[in-house]
Amino acid sequence: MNDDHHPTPPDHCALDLGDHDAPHQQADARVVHGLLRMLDEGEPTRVASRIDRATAAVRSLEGGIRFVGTTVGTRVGTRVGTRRRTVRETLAWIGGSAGMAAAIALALLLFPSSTEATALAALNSMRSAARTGGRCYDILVMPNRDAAIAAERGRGDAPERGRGDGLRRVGELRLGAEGRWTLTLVKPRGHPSDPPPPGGRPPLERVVLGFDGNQYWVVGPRGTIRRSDSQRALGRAFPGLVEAGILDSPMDETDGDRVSEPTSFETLGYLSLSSVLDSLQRGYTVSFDSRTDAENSLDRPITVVQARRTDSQADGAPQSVRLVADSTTLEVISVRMTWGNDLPQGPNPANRPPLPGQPPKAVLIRQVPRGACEEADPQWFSPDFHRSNSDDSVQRPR
Amino acid sequence: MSPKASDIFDILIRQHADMLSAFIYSMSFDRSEVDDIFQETIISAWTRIDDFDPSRPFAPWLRGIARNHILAAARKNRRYRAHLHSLLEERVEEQFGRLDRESGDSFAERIAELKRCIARLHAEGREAIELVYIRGVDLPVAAESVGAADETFRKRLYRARLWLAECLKGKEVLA
Repeated sequence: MNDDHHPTPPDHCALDLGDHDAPHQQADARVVHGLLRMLDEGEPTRVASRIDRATAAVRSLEGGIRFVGTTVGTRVGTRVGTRRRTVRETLAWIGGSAGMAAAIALALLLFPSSTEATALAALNSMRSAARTGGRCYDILVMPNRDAAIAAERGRGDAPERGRGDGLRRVGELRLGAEGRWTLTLVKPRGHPSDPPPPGGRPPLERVVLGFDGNQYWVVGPRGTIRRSDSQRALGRAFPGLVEAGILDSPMDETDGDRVSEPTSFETLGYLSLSSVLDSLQRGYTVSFDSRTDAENSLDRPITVVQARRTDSQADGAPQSVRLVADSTTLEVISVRMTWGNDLPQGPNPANRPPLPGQPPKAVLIRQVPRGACEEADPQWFSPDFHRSNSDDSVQRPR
Repeated sequence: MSPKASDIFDILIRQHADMLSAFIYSMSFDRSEVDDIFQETIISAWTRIDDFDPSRPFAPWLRGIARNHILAAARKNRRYRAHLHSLLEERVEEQFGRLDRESGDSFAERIAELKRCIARLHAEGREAIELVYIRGVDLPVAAESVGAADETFRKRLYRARLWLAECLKGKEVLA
């Protein structure tokens, strides 16, 4: 790196030819050059590798550097035996010294008083990961509160793949470039409480939700297309989804009515991860959930962020949202949304709050990353594509 | 159990990795240096975290560290020294400051705007950009593939970047 006769060629593109241009023009061309480098097909892999190397280096330093003396910035890189000393302990080390002001500043950045800020940083990273195009996920939606909660408690945060485990595999989430996405939901035709047809499984029907970069849209089971600038408004404007029982849960037996869990209307707007993450930008306090070790049955580290609503007037918004992400990629693998007793009242039973004494309603959505998926048809994110491909012979999920 | 400081620092790194990489590409003269400069920047940031004023945004502080490493590397190389220019460096920082000024918009959204601008670029410029930046073809090979002299192709590429900069200004992504 410091050799005048460096063996690797320079970045020809970086050595600009704009000698006749003003410095600001040359600089702008260089900024664009840097941004363009991020478009290289191999760049995401290189960035991931840089992160891995850098985080490994930081972790190796975490226990090895301690602060000594009373002047901020006087540091001696010293191994502290075999025990890893954390920066938190380092702060205690310099407690009472003139370095305390800086320590407090650091604590504001890193520790509990700023937990929300750092959790927000994690949340933003999850949001960025959720906008990475060319990714596909298997989606499981568990709208039944008991099943959702029991599954979460009993199985940790491990996503499920198989059938016959009481969890319903619902469909596929596909993320495209520039924020486009589709969510394909599949369910057996008819209401869950309907008796099975003689001689086999009921046929499946499909609803596809999506965002084409400009508008949200839904293609119903009969090919009807609705569009809206608001995903949640779209949910309200499409009662056919509720009538079709696309997302509703088994009967609520407490009063004998067919009462949907709060999926159909109110949570339709929250079924795509990006909209969940967007909604948490306002009206919620966020924090890390540190009780993850006991819950985590994955063989990889996870990051858990808990968001609690502060605005009680938020129409239909979940009271709390718990996001579990793979710590390496910050891809969200599980979302649990909980509604309390402040669900908006309305004529639709979907909006009916839980009865007094009942636990809050919950919806658990699990995403099983399939990794990078092949480029979809260019028209994939258009609702017309799914209407033209809509028929009754929907294939059963794997 | 509270998250460890390094866990939190990891999150900050992940959040800023794309931006930092793009900044280093913008300022650096040698692609092979980018990985090392990124690494050195992060380690410096970690060991100097107590110098950081948490009342100020994190990204410019991180870029300041990266800039010092980039300039230190460039000064050691005679070939690049002539390209160092404080006005240029300040302007690059100004533009990156603009890129992360609007909270709530991710870096990926800025890149999406860039793609939209590329789609509007004239055919010759778009071809040059796609060959070199998206398909990763070395500049001399790309020039040969389109039947242009190296110098001609480099100028074409440079003019295309200037046009893209103007396009991004029109979208208020750059200042």
